[in-house]
Amino acid sequence: MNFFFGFKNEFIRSELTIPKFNFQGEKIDNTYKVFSAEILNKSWKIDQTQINEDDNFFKIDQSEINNKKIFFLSNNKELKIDKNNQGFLNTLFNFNSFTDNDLVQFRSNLKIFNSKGGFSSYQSDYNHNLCRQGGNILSPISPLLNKNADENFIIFRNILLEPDNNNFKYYFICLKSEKILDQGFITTNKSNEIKVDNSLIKDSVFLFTENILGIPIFVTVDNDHISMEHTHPPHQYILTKDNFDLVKKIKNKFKEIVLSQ
Amino acid sequence: MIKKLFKTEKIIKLRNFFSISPTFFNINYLEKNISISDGFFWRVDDNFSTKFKFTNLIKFYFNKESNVEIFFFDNNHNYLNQIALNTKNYSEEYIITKKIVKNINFGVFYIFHRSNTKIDSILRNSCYVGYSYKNSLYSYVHGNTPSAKKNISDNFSKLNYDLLGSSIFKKKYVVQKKFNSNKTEAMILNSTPIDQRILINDEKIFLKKGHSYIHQIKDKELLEINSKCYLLRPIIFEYEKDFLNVYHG
Repeated sequence: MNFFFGFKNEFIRSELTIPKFNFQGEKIDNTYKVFSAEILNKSWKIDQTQINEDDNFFKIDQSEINNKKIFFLSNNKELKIDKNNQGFLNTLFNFNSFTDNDLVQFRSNLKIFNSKGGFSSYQSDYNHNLCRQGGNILSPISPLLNKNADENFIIFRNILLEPDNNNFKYYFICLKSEKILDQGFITTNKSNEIKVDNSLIKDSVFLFTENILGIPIFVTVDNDHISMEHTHPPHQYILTKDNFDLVKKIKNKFKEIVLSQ
Repeated sequence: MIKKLFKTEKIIKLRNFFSISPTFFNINYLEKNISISDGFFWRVDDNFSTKFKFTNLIKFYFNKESNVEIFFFDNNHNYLNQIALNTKNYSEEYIITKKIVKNINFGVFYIFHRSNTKIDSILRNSCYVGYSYKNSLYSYVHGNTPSAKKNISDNFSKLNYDLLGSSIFKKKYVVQKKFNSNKTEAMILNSTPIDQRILINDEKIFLKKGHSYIHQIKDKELLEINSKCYLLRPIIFEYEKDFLNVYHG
């Protein structure tokens, strides 16, 4: 089961288009609707979302999107909202199971755009299995950013099952010099915006997070044109069973650099 | 022993072909010292340029010196050129010029990591291709289909560009996106071991092994691809005035 999310800042808005079919063209059950979840008084507040829909898609307009709200498909049977909880839940859970065994993830199209006509999109999802505490994200930054562009930033999206807004550290680390070049905080259950100074965009500089998982999405803006894409998790570049051991070894190196400074 | 036999490449191809416990890709995951490349599109046709950004996987994961080799083919899988890059950095970039692709409009390239030392693993390079339209910002997309392989110490061969599984049964792939731009194109590559008859919306094409094609999406809000390939996933080029958005379907 996948959650969906958007992003918003001073210059950029977003919209989501969620299909009513899977990658094989099979229609989802027509009882499914789009719901949103947002933290309120340390609980998840679940609401049915205002959407436009046609035979094939649900469309979530920019006015419904902020950096905290998430969206998902469910129906009354699977949602388990009743008079007792009045739309409030202590935890998120698997709200639908219709694509859990699909080879290709059930994805929405996340489109970001500015007022000048620039736009970029990707087929986006946040899998329910990624909504857990702890872990580290490691990603190179230079492949998807542009040191000559007007602006570079990373949308770091985290979703936890628990309705918590806690801060965890991120670092920009130079692997060659083994130095932390910049650092800051990212908040759980949020689409965080991490500004990237152009001087950081070098082949040996990596984004590393401490005790927080998520999806880093790299955005470049130049002359009103926008490019947005996510990186792969490092274990996906190794197809043999040693992948997690190799990645663990590299992540330990980054942890040592953090601890040494 | 039987388990190992069941995972050899020939048996995997047969499993995929007859849809018996299909693996979708013709990859023997028990092999070692293999470099796998996604099939990456390049285009230098009207107003386009292409840039490739990649990670030196052998240096990053194994801290060993290595080179990369990039092989360029036209849209009919004719070999055009190759380059070898002695990569000392973790990440590199390469701009694909008209000269390197001999003034052909579009095609496919593959990247392989090369080293004389053993790594006991299979690497998959699925890095990032940027497309610039009318000299504007490159719009980046990651690779999405393992397509070709080579032993990390072997020389170039035109074989092994067929890692996508093919079946005797019909397969449908529908992109989970609504198409409503002024102009949209979908690039597809046949990286299966056999020639394919493909129906893209209403357009029938015959795509030989290794060949690629650009389909114009016209007056349709859906993109439906019918073939005998397991996952014939396109790269989408979406235009609004002079703005470009590229992503994988």
